[in-house]
Amino acid sequence: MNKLILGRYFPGNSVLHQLDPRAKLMAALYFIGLLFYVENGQGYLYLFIFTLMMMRLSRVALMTYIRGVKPLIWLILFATCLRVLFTGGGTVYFNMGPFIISSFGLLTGIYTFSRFVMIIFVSTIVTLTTKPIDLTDAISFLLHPLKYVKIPVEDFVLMLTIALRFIPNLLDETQKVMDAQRARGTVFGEGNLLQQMKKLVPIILPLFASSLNRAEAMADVMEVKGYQSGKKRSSFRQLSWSRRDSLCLMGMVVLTLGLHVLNEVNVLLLIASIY
Amino acid sequence: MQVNFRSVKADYQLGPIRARNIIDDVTFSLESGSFTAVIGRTGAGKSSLLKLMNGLLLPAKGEVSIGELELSQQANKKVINQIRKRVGMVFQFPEHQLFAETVGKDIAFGPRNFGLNEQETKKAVQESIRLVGLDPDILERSPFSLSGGQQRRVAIAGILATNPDVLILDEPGAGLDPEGKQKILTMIKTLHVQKRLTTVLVTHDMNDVATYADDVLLIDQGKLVCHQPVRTFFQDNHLTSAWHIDLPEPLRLQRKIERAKNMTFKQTCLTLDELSQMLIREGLV
Ligand SMILES: Nc1ncnc2c1ncn2[C@@H]1O[C@H](COP(=O)(O)OP(=O)(O)OP(=O)(O)O)[C@@H](O)[C@H]1O
Ligand SMILES: [Mg+2]
Repeated sequence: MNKLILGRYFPGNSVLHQLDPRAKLMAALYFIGLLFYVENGQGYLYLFIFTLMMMRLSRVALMTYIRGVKPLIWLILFATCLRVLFTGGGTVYFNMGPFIISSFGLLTGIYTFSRFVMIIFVSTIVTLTTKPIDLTDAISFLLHPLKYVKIPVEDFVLMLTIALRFIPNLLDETQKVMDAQRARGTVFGEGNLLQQMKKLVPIILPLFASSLNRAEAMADVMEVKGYQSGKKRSSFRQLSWSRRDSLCLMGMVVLTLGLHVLNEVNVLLLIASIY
Repeated sequence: MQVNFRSVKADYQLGPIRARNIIDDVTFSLESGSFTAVIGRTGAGKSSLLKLMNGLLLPAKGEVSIGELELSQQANKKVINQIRKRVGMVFQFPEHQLFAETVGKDIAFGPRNFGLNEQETKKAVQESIRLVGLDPDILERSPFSLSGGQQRRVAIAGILATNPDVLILDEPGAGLDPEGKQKILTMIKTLHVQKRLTTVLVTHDMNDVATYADDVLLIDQGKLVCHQPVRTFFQDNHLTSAWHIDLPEPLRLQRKIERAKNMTFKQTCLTLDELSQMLIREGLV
């Protein structure tokens, strides 16, 4: 349980830590969008080098990021396999029913894989260097425009804040319940899939029970303290935008230009090779 | 069953961060059949010490042995499982681990895991519900429909049903009303005597230490400060004041009388009976 890196904050003092959470969040979202604009291997390489640079800038050990990908590796491999098996084109190496393994499919598989890994790396960079509370402030800011179409952004953000606030508690509690069931003779990580799933019941049910109790208590306390949704509120924490943050966004523009060039160059090469 | 700690060190790995020396070079030995109270400030490492006794936390250095079974950094799963079978651990707020539809099924969870067959399990469930002083009718009810005190008893029954030789309890009275707490502790003491258990109890209440335990194990910042019989421990004024240990009520009263009368009694009274008898004997009342 303690191995989950994605979503954990890592106190520090790097440039990335000092960036405004709004800038970081926008840049990360933009970068993820950019991943879908890449057209060739060199583009992926280019973005990957950029990601590695950012990971270095965060001053968090590379191992930490790799451990962050580990819990999700099966999901990624599954998605990759789907891409490989259902994409045709190029040289066909293997064909059976709807499944096909082709050179084009393999290439797409590699792209899908690196795209996933980069998405996880970049999200990890953001969460490792941003306090959850700052992150919710940033989300609140980005969602702000939705208020004009009568979406209760503040309630949503409050929900998010509470949820984030209770993740560590939930993890602690999971650990405790797991320990308690271990002491009663449960051995985790043994037996077939069905048996292993069965072993989760004695963990999940107590967690549900305690989470519901806690939510109820929390709602009561908020009620008693006079919380009402839709009231206008000021904020205790103030975010401040500095030159650094503008530079960060500028950096994204430059990155895009670079990628654009790489995409074009390849097209040119393609045309050249045809003639 | 004897419990031995030999130069045990332990720490927690929290994601990438390592919490150093939560238990720091601790050596002690609990006699078979003894009742030991573990005390210390909050965060001293009491719960961690208990976790070391049943392999939920493995020593980074040194060994823990329970009877002839031995736990160290390299302990394998089989040994750990055997130890867990011998050592019953009641966690703080054990009612938070209840999950089954009925009390009976919940109590049967432990014995089943440890490989008892249907008949043995049934017998263990029946016996343990009686041991914790609950009506067998309760077995068919949902654990979530019970009161806090009842839930706690059910949780303890779930541990007793595995028939351990060593019983370790982390603040079993926390969060209960005073009467409920005394009932649970009295029940534990009775079990301790009846089943000749080796019992380890974490508590913050010095009255409980004086009433129920034979020995005291004081830890601070992961280090063992002392391991002594209860009476020797409370007699030592220097020790108790240096570590800001509250005295049990009768002893506090005795010390007050001593100060007022400017005298010292030879005896150290840990219970009200002892105190009243001594006062009568000394002709003060
Ligand atoms: N799962 C864990 N991961 C990391 N550190 C932990 C964990 N559990 C406890 N600790 C740390 O170990 C130290 C000892 O904790 P422990 O729970 O053993 O104390 P305790 O004496 O039982 O305290 P209390 O009286 O509050 O129950 C504390 O500093 C705590 O922060
Ligand atoms: Mg504790």
